[in-house]
Amino acid sequence: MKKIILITFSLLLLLPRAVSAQTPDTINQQINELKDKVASRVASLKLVEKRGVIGTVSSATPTEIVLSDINGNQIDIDVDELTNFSSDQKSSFDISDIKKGMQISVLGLYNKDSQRLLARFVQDYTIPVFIPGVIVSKDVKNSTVNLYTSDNISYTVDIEDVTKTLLYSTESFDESGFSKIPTLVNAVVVGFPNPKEKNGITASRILVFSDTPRDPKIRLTQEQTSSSSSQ
Amino acid sequence: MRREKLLLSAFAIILGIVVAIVIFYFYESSHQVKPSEIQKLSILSPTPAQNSMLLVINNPLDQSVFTNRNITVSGKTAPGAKIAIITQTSEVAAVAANDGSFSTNVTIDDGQNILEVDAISTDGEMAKVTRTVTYSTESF
Repeated sequence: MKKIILITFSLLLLLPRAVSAQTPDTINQQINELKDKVASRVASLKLVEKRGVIGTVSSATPTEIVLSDINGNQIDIDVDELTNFSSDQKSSFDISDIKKGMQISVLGLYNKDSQRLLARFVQDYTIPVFIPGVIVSKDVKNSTVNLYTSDNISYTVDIEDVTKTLLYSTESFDESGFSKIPTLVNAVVVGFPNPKEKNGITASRILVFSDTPRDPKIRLTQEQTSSSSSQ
Repeated sequence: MRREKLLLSAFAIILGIVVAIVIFYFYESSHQVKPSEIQKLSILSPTPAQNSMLLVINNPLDQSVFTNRNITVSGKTAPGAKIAIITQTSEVAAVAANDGSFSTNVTIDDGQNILEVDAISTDGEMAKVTRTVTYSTESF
């Protein structure tokens, strides 16, 4: 008899809770929780976006790479077990191959809050140079041109057989040849640094703007202008 | 007795402050600065920026990722400026409109691309902006 009374008493205590679990208040609470979860997911999706960067490695550890991008910005990159490494030169390439001074490209998820990039694809990369300046002189014998920039740096640009010379025409670039490259005109050289020569560039393309005055910011010496006019 | 001492001390402090204020007032009103002691300060105008030519790229944003190879490059520069949009493998020429705006399409390669926009004004001044843009259809 005592047992029956105890069980009945217990049921009476639990019954209102069981009933209240089905009340509209509880359902509303569940809906609100679900709304919060959806809102949180949407916020996290907005917080993270795909980004791709190219730069030179400043430092590297098994979990992090610090990169200086082509505009000189420092980017903190996280590496995890899902990060995919690839190289055109090596069959086996992973985080241990990433060294300071190396040039790489990284594609991953950028978190706007933490301002860190979670790397998904890392690849070794050779960064080309794009140098605007004035063509000061031309050496036909050695197939080089001298490009002077607004930073007062003089580059010796090697013209190879594969180098394309392009002259700016009205809203287009016309292919030309080395012999037709004029001097004392604005130009942009696209190529790669020549490791054998200081300020040496191996050009893949030269874009020449012959129908505009030369950049007034680039101040040439009398020697440079006279050497150019004597050619 | 103690109360009198406190009152006397307070009176002495107040009197001291009043005397100090009066002396300072008379000193300031009688003191004259000689013209030779006056130092002239001149504010120099800031040095104008060397790279004064405007070149703003509105699109694409740096480090952006595209799922389409054909992208629009737009921005603003000097009116009538010659524009060269250069990637590793291609180049596109354009001319800025009278209000300096320009917009043209460029095709990018697989993976990361360096996109350099060079503008050359009618007086020859050059400006450049470099962007990294990526073509990728990878889902992650």
